[in-house]
Amino acid sequence: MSTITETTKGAVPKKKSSKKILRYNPNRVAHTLDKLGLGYFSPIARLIGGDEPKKQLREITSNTFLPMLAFAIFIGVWGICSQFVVSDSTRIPSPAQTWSAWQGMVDFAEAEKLKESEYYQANEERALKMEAKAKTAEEAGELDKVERYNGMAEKFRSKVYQGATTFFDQIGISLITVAVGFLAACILGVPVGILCGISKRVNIALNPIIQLFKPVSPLAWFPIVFVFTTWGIEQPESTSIWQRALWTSAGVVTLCSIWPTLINTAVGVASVDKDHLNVAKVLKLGWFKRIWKIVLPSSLPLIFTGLRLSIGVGWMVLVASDMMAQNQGLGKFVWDMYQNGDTQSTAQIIIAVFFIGAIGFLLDRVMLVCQRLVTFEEQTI
Amino acid sequence: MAYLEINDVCKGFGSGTARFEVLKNINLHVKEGEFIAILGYSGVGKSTLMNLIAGLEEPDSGEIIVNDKKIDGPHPDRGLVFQNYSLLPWLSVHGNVAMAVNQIYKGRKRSERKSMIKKAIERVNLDDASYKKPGELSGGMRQRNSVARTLSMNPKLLLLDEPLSALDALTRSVIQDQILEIKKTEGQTVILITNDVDEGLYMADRIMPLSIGPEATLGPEIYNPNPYPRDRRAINSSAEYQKLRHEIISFLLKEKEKEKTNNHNGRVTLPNIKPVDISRHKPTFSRGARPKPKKELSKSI
Repeated sequence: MSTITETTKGAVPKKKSSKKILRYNPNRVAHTLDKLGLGYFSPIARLIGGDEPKKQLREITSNTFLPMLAFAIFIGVWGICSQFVVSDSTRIPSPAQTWSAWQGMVDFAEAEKLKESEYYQANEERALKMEAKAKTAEEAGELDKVERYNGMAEKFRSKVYQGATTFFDQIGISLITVAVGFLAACILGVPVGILCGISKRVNIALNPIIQLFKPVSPLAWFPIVFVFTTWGIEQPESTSIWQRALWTSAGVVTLCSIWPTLINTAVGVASVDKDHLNVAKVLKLGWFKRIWKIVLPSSLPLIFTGLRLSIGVGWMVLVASDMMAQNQGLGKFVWDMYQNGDTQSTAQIIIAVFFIGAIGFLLDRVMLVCQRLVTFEEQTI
Repeated sequence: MAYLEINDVCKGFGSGTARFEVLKNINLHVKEGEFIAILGYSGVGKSTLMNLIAGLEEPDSGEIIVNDKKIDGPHPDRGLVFQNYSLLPWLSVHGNVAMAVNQIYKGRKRSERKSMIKKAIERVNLDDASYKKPGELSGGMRQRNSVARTLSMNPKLLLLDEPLSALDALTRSVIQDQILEIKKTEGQTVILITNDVDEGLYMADRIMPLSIGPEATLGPEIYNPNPYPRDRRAINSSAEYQKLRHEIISFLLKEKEKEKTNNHNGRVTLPNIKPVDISRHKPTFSRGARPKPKKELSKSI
């Protein structure tokens, strides 16, 4: 008997010495990278640790080479298309044209930035001049002039530059819009989902509404949200970013992206392991503690799956709702370029498409990391 | 006076034609400090009986009395160790125990609760793994964590619902000894549910076999008067153990025979479904070409 006890005691891991923790552990780093959705870099981490270098190199080459090959083919097909696909006023721009359009956009944005800083600098100089005048007037004892000069100085300082919106400003507006819409979807969707999951009656009551409104297109929601925002939100000054159009667009994003969060939360809450609820019963946890300590943590993985789906839907819907609402985001950019209708504008639209895709991908990755952080055990997504 | 009394308890599930009587006329009196093993085939209602004693379910008729009081729902005095551990996977070993201690001993000081948690984890030799999550533990460690959680509530009656059935034989014998050790030092009354005859013989003072349901009930009680600590090897060799084991096994085997003759007359009824070969009718969307479902199929559904 004693031998058995000893062996199991030995199997319990001893406390690690601090030296061991500090040492570079390629497997652990690779695992963390995988968890962060950066699986591409995990063979590199293993290679640095000297773990099977040949295998890692092979993996790195194939991980790099194959996607590049596919991308090259894509560029090739695109190039061929640009030779043949022509309409009355525009044609598909070639990759090179698109690249130069991109450089034009960057140049334009830089020029705008320069103009803006020059504008503020000039105004600051004017304000300083006025203040100097005010000082001399004060010394001369002309109080009414002092006040006037100071007022003018303030006026120069408070002037806001009203230049053209650049592509990058529009990306910023889009991100703000989707953040507002997504946040509203979380704030509404998670609690309602919890209620649906806890109470069968609430679920029965709300299910028809959910099923009915879930498949509705953003374009159909837009006019309705528009009425609400024009009724409820006062149009701010044109320099503010919190335009009515932004709220309208965010509202459409909310209405389209709330459903995955709501449904996943409800499913997560409703499918809490019965054994875990028995633990709550044995411990005699109260209603609130049961929700907070058992139900919520165990449904977090599904809630986050829902949130990840929601942000994907939200970003996809955003471009359409920006177009409709004329919100100064990426959708508006695409719409304006479409209205321009020449090849240069089409090239800019292609750039916008790449950006929309890349940002959507990044948002998804961020949510994936969040999702993996709350997922326990060896659950796979 | 018995510490635990189960008087004429019946329990069934479902209603109408789907009604299924699981337990019928269960009677059991357990003295304080006694170690009882309830033995039976899987699926006969052992866990149902345990849930009734734990208070997770209510009997349809009859009563369960603990310490002269009829039970009404779960109580920390009756600590249940779940069959599948039921650890909360997002909490560490420490967190799982802490949750129970913080809930049951809400009124105590923080430092006092802390030492209770620590003691409970040390008692099952998990102190080196206390930061780990259940997903990182072996089966035996998980079960020890589960035992630690239950023991941290200092129950007077320890209910073990097949706690070791998912473990390998070596780990099982280690945890058996740990449970016996804890029982020796703290003197709880223990009810162990198991489907392992040797486990019952090794651990318990009294073994109660459960007959095969529906309407399962407790069979003849078998006492094991051997003093603790017991010699595991003796179970294989001594004539006394052989006799006890023979008694239990012959009861269980008789039950199996009875089940065969009573319920099915030795025959197994299969569901009345005839297979249809759908590969001959390839799905098609042109009008009129769609095959009509065969009669057998629609009938059987």
